[in-house]
Amino acid sequence: MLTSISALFVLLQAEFLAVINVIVYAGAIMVLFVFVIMLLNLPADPSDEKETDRLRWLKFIGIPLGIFLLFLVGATVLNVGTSANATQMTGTAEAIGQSMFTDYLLPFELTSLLILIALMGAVVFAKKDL
Amino acid sequence: MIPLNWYLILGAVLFLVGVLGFFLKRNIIALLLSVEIMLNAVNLTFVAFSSQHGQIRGQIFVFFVLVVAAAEAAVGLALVIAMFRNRESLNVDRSNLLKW
Repeated sequence: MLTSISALFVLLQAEFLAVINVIVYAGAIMVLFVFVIMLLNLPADPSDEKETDRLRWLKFIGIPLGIFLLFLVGATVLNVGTSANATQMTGTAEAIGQSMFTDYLLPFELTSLLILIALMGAVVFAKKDL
Repeated sequence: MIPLNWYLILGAVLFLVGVLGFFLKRNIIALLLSVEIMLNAVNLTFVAFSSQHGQIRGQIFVFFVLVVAAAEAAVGLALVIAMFRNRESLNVDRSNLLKW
């Protein structure tokens, strides 16, 4: 899903954000999730069994919808033509950097503060004796 | 070019998936992933409008949303670790005390 959204960003002429999206999500956030799941070494939750029982009929909806989506994507890919008109490139790294370091300099610096605080918060929360 | 409508519809559907996952799931990691899906839906809408209007501001905002999402994931997963250590479970129904 995240890769698809990055592809859509490329289609919308936001190349910088597409690259950033892949790096941040695939490279950082999802690795973090997987690492935490691995670290916790979860036991099987007995309450999950009931839920799968309750949601069993959902696959009768999900499988036709998935096949429909597959056909839809296939038909779209087969029918795709050349782009009508390549308008001006809006989302290059140059344009984004130009705007971010002039008009949005203060929010940009504040994000570094936010990340620092989040880093310290994560370290404190994950400590042994909270 | 794909019309703007389709991007907005996809964004709405993704947001709906995130909201439904947030309300139906009981595993806290699934809740965090649902929040990420919602943030991505909003990002997609932002970039679609930014491209439609030919302005860069929407993409700048998406950058900030990405930063907040990364910070939120880091703190949220640290909280998951702390919660699992204290409760031995990831089910949010079982963490029903503010203090113990």
